[in-house]
Amino acid sequence: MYKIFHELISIILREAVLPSQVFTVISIFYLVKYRPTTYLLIIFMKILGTVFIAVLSCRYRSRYRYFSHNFSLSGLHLLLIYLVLDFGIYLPILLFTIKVM
Amino acid sequence: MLEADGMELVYGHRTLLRDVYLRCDIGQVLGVTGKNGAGKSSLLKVLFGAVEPRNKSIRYREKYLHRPYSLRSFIRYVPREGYVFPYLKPSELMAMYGIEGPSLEALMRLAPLSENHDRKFGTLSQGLQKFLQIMVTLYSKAQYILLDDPFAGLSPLFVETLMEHVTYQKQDRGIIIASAQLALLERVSDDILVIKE
Repeated sequence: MYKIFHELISIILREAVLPSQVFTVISIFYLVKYRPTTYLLIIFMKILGTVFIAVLSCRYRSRYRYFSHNFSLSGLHLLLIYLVLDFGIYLPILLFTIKVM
Repeated sequence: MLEADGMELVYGHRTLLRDVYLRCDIGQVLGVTGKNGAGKSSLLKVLFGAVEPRNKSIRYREKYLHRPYSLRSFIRYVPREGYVFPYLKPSELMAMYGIEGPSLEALMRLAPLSENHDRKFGTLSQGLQKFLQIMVTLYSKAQYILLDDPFAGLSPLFVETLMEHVTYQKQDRGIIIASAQLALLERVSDDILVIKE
């Protein structure tokens, strides 16, 4: 089971989370420094967006769904992995922002 | 024995499946055929648990199954378009399924697999990707394997090899194949279920 979780995590990182995070990190460092209020709005949008994309990935992206189901993982497992990964990457930036602000 | 009946699947105003009865024993290949759009693929998705119909009754050894996929190593499904990510290698997929010993040896005797087991799926042709996904899944430890349109997009040589291995692998599992290619289905199936519109 460890191998399967490991593989799913690396797939989600490569497929969906990492590219969007790289873009977010670059844009957010600028905003944190010069426009903190705008950044708070982005945090809110980001949370909504992550939940939305995670639900879409689990429900509608057939590769994720069939791949995980073939290893007896449900959509809920996938949703949790996705959310933990996404917020796990995001959390250090959030803490940094709070410190700066 | 896997049994399913009372299935009613509705998309919008269209009823796709109604009054389908299906039974597949271990050691049996069950072919599912019908016109395009008759609901062959949807039937497999319902059996796997990926689609939730309005009504269903899926039983294994007279025990009701709500989501068959959630039982470990019970059922596996290869959709028409495949399910493996382009970054994975066939060798990694085999390791994830725990394929070892004689099964691994039998798979590695296949030239397309032995030559490409360490290449990423994404670098292989569509037909080869599909063939390797089906073959690896077929050798995984599952009691039931569902194959959706497995012959489409495969060369005649791959189709023949696939049929040989389906016949060999059915000894200790049940295999359900959905396809509109009745001539091929007849050669490999023990029973055929026809879905009427």
